[in-house]
Amino acid sequence: MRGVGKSWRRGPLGSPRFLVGLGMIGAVCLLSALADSLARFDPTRSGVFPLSPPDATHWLGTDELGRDIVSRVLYGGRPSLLIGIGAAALSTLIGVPIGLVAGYVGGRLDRLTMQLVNLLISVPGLILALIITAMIGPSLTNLVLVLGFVTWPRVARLVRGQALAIRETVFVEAARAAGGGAAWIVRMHILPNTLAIIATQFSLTVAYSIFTSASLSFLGVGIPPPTPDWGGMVRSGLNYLALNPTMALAPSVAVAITVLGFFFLGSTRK
Amino acid sequence: MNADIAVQEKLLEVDGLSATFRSNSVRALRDVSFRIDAGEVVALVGESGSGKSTTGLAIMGLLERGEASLSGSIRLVRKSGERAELVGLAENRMRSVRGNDVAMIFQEPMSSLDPIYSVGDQIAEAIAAHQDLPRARVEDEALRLLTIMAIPDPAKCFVSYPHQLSGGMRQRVMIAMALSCRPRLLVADEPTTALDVTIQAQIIDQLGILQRDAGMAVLFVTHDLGLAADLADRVLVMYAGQIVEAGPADQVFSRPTMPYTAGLMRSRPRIGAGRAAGGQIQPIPGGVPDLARLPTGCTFHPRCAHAVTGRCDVTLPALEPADGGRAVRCLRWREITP
Repeated sequence: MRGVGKSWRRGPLGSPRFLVGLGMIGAVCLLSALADSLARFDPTRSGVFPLSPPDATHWLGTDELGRDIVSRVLYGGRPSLLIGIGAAALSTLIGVPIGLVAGYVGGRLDRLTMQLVNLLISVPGLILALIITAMIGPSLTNLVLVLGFVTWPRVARLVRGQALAIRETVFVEAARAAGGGAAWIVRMHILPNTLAIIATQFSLTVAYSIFTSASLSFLGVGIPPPTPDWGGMVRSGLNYLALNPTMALAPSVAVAITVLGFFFLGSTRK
Repeated sequence: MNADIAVQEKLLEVDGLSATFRSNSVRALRDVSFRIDAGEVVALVGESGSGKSTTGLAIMGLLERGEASLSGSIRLVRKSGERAELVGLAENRMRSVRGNDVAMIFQEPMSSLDPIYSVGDQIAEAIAAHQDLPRARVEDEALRLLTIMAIPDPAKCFVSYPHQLSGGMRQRVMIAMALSCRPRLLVADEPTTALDVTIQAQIIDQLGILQRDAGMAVLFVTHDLGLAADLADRVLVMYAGQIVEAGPADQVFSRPTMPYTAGLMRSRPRIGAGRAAGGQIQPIPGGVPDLARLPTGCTFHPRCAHAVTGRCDVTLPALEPADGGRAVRCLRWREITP
């Protein structure tokens, strides 16, 4: 019986997509964490050979100020990962309680909350993030705050839908029949039954936030220079695409791998 | 079943209870009155949509205020001896009644346990919610309850997850949870409808034993007349949100007075009463009326063979006392009772 059950009911660890995603994220995190010992050059110090093509010293060449691109890509992962995970954490912290309360309590509160959520979702996230960042100024903390604010409505809507469904199950009614209060039922039954969907959404939010923060940097409201970050590197590399294409390509590939990795993690059916 | 209990202690008294669903203004219950004495098993029988489950939920205070409005009264004698009026009771006080004085078991054992916790955790949780016991004692108590419910290998069941158990086992677990706080009244809403007949018989037997041992009263909601006759001291027959006949189980089933009860008895399949014996199933013609458009007069008259035009379709009969300690809601019961 157990053997049969195992063959079709694998955990996420049995899914190749999940493992590939985990490998990609693991590699990116490891490289970013070990940037200090892996990078052979200071990512912010200018060199005397700007825009040199890849060679034995500078494996991916240098940028317009002669800085080593490999070193900059390695260090550039740090703000991206911090922003991605920070924004996803913030969006979960805001979105999950709001979604749970709206879904469980229902009625007028639910309708009001969902109106606000739908209003926020209807504005494209990048535009909203662009406007707010332009207003409060770009910094690592502000980017986390802005992206967390832009992404929480989706989390809230998702959790609310799940809470609504679980609220109607017999085991919740049985918990009420046993004398359970609203807060206790939400904590003991509704929240644990939404954890899988919250984890999935967390991963997708990380991917979205990294992508959007790179877009913001590309549009000029990202991490201020000279701190290396992938979006800003793509933006400056675009001007020199003909002279040293790796300047824009290397950080693009880094963004792609990270986003795809989190996407794989999040989209594995659990 | 409990005729030997000398003192009839009143436990629950439902008086003039009406329930109206807000969304469609349907009156699911109309002027429902009955009482349950301590230690008594009362069966509430009727077709789907007759209001039997709604009655159970109303007693539990589980009809949400935004969903249905209640009028009338439900008075319960609590463990403390206090008489509490449950209609309109504040939610936080109702919570201390639920699970403590009254417990409920549901129809679907497959979905009434949370899939993410082990069975032991869920029983322990129910115990801990109402009793202040150290952790080890809670586990002992949970194992004791599983043993009482005749679960083979209770220790294994304790660590199992709901999906690893059969429907019968899950319903036993649900009953164990409901019994954990020693309620004085158990509302059992078709607890065995989803189970095999053999399992059903075992669970009903156990429920009967537990009920007698604990002196617990049971409101047994069912559409199975055989089960009701087997288990109940008294029977309440519901039709279209009203009680149409009430009385001692043997009386009601052996000599039904209300034509609807008689019809229910005839539409029941019986072994050994085949066509040759002239005892084939005779269904009641027609269907349960739409609660939003009830017929005038007696709600049963369009389906009743004894209905008289000008009387049954005009006057709504009252629930009046009849012989044998019964009550019946029929204008013509004196004329038609053989």
